Amino acid sequence: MMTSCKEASRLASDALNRRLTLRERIALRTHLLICAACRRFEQQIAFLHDAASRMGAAEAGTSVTLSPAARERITARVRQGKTSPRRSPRGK
Amino acid sequence: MARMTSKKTKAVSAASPPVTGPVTWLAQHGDALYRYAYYRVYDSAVAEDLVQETLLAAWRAHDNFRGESAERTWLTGILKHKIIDYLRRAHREVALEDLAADADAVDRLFAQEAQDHWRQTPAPWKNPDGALESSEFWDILRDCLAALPAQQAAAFAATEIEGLSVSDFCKNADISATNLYVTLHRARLRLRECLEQNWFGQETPSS
Repeated sequence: MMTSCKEASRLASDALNRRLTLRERIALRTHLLICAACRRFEQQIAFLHDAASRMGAAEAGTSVTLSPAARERITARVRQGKTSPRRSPRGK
Repeated sequence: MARMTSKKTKAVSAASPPVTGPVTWLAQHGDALYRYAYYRVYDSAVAEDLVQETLLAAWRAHDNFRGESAERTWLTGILKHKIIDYLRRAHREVALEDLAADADAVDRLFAQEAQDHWRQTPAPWKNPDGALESSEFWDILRDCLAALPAQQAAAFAATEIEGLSVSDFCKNADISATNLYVTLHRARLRLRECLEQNWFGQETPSS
């Protein structure tokens, strides 16, 4: 059974976070041999992987702090002692 | 009366230990708590809410604080629970509401009638190494991260940016490793597309 691009993209993604099984590695490599689009995808998510870790290294050096506005808002809220309405995790 | 109250609050905020409360905790530990939360959820508004909820919960429970641990350790412990709740909620809500919609978003990238081949082939990226040198590129990457569904942003940020291990993230968010890999795959498909549209792909607008 041929590996589809959807499956290959999933294996390429997984390979960045876990060791693929032998069967999976063969499936991915065989697919990449014949598919330029997935080869490109693999390179691009590798780039993304690298960029993300650089971002982490850069951010670790900077100090993330509460903005004065947030500090004021939280102060006002905790003075009231009331719970804020829950923010939905998807409320972006 | 109003004057009395404001005087009182002022006294509390200006007080040094032993009189502690949410306002002093915020002054002394606010940034540390915020940083802790931010590097786990990667959303400043959510991190601010988590700090606030932590201070309120700490205030309600402060009778239980016997000073066995440092104040900051105690507050961080409460915050940790709030973060785990948030991550669980993010994953659960997606599982209930949007899993199908999200699978559609992935399917949209692949043509089912053509053995799940790319509907739109990833375009070649020009000079990706150069992008890393541009501050504008990092802004766009941040925008792309912010545009992800919450559970994808949290998973990608924690494991890829902060370098949290897969097992630690899964333990915190109470999800399986397979669930995390699916989430990361979706996040990468979206981020890749977002970068292509906003940074790499200007010369070949999609038809």
